[in-house]
Amino acid sequence: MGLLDGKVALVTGAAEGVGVAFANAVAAEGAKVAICDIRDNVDERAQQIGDAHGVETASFHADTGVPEDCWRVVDETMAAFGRIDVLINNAGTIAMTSPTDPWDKSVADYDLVMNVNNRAYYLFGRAVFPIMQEQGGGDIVNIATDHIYTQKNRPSGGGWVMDTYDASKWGLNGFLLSWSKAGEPHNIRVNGICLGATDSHMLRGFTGEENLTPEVIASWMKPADVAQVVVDLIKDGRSGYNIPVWVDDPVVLTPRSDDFSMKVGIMKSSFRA
Amino acid sequence: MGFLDGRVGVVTGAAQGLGTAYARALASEGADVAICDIQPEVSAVADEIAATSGRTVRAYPCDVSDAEAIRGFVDGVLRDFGGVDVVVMNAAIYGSSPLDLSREQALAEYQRFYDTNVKSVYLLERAFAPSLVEREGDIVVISTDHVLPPLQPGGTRGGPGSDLYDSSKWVLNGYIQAWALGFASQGQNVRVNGIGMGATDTPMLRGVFPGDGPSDEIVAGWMTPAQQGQLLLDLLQDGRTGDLISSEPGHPVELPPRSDYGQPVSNLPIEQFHHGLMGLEPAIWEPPS
Repeated sequence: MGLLDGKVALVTGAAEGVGVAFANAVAAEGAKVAICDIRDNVDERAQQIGDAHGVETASFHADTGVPEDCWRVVDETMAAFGRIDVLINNAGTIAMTSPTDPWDKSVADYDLVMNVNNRAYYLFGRAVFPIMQEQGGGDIVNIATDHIYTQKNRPSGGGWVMDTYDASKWGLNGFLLSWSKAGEPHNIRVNGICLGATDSHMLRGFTGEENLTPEVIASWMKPADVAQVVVDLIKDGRSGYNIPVWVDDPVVLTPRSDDFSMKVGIMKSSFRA
Repeated sequence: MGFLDGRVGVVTGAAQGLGTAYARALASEGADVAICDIQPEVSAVADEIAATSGRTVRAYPCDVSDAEAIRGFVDGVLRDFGGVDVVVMNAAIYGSSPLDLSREQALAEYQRFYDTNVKSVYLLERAFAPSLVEREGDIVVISTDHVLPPLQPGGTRGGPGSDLYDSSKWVLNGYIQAWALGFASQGQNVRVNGIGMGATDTPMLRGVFPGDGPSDEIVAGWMTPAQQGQLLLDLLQDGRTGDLISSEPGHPVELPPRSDYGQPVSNLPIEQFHHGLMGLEPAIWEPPS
């Protein structure tokens, strides 16, 4: 018996990287899995996931930077399976952006990063919300970054070279807090994962072939370990939390806390309570 | 005279409320000021501040949700004033965004909130950055107390029907941090701070109350735009960077002590927070003791 027997999970950006691990983890718990990706191997990947776990899968070629693609993925998942119990907003992108970049580059960078890392999360979340409401519940998990979690002295981990990436992920806190409140009476839980360096398609590409030593790869978290935290989070039933998951700490679900700064990565501020 | 003699200030969304108060405050300390707004009343505001302060104050009609309009505004300011020292990013919209909007409405509302509250801040930074770096200036981003820690243990801020307003302001935390740390890491003395603003007596807030508007009792609990103008001046004189200042009813409207995070990061060794291209050995930033 799995945690998600009879349930349906939708994972965005699941042809490569941590998305594959999330899809495999929910499939291992018995869920039917729908995945989408901008990459052409999304159908092949879905087939592998289905074969490995003996679950039904559906796959959609989609660019989550395009609103109509986001809506189509939700509609076609409903057409295939009739329900969506888990949404893992995972598809993300990254661009090198700096405060002294030239104007034309900056105008283009904003849409490139924000449309995928922020707007798509919003559109997917809002598209599944009424579906989950109708069903009587569901889980939304937004994959963010440890750059936005300030408890561990990691302010703006991207620093000089990725201001818009960091900002796009900070913005997810607004969706998280608002939706978790709105979802409470409907048994809809909304959480985020502040994910640190994980051996993934994105990080390997970003690090560069020449730097990919065994030591570097060994210093990263394993996608399967991270995905288990997401399963444990869904099992746990909390809502309104950002979960820190990063290197150097055990890759486990952190305990619940009433301390807001431990729930959501806040910006340290000159604050008087 | 004032501590901003010979300096140039910029305030967006200055046709009313807080923006007008910020422009007036900067001019009162000797700055020449460029103000913009989507509302044509911005011209009369400029004339009034110029008359009372004796400074040069120019108005620029500008819809900050339009990238081309921002480019035109910035080019105009740099042409007319030669450079800028203080940029107050104040223009914003406020409102609810119910979860039962249609998909198309939800998308349109996303663009409206994000273009006005987020993209404008980002593009203004990009356009003014060369001048701010050259003149070692200040960026002040006006945000909201919705993104501050909650007042009660176990509580949160923001609401179930305001995902767009709240998230548009959460995004700004990312920019404030990245810019404060980023400029400092490059040895560039541009300070970047935010103000987490609570209820202040402005046309925006009064507009939330239909009919006769808010009662006198409610208004008495609000802060005033003039107080916020003074807070801005105190922040500029303080010299901190990378801080999110709380300004909320129930507290004196004054600059709080620096948080550990609010230390001037330019005083710290660059390598402590410059991660480079993904820093294979992630830099761990330790707050100064």
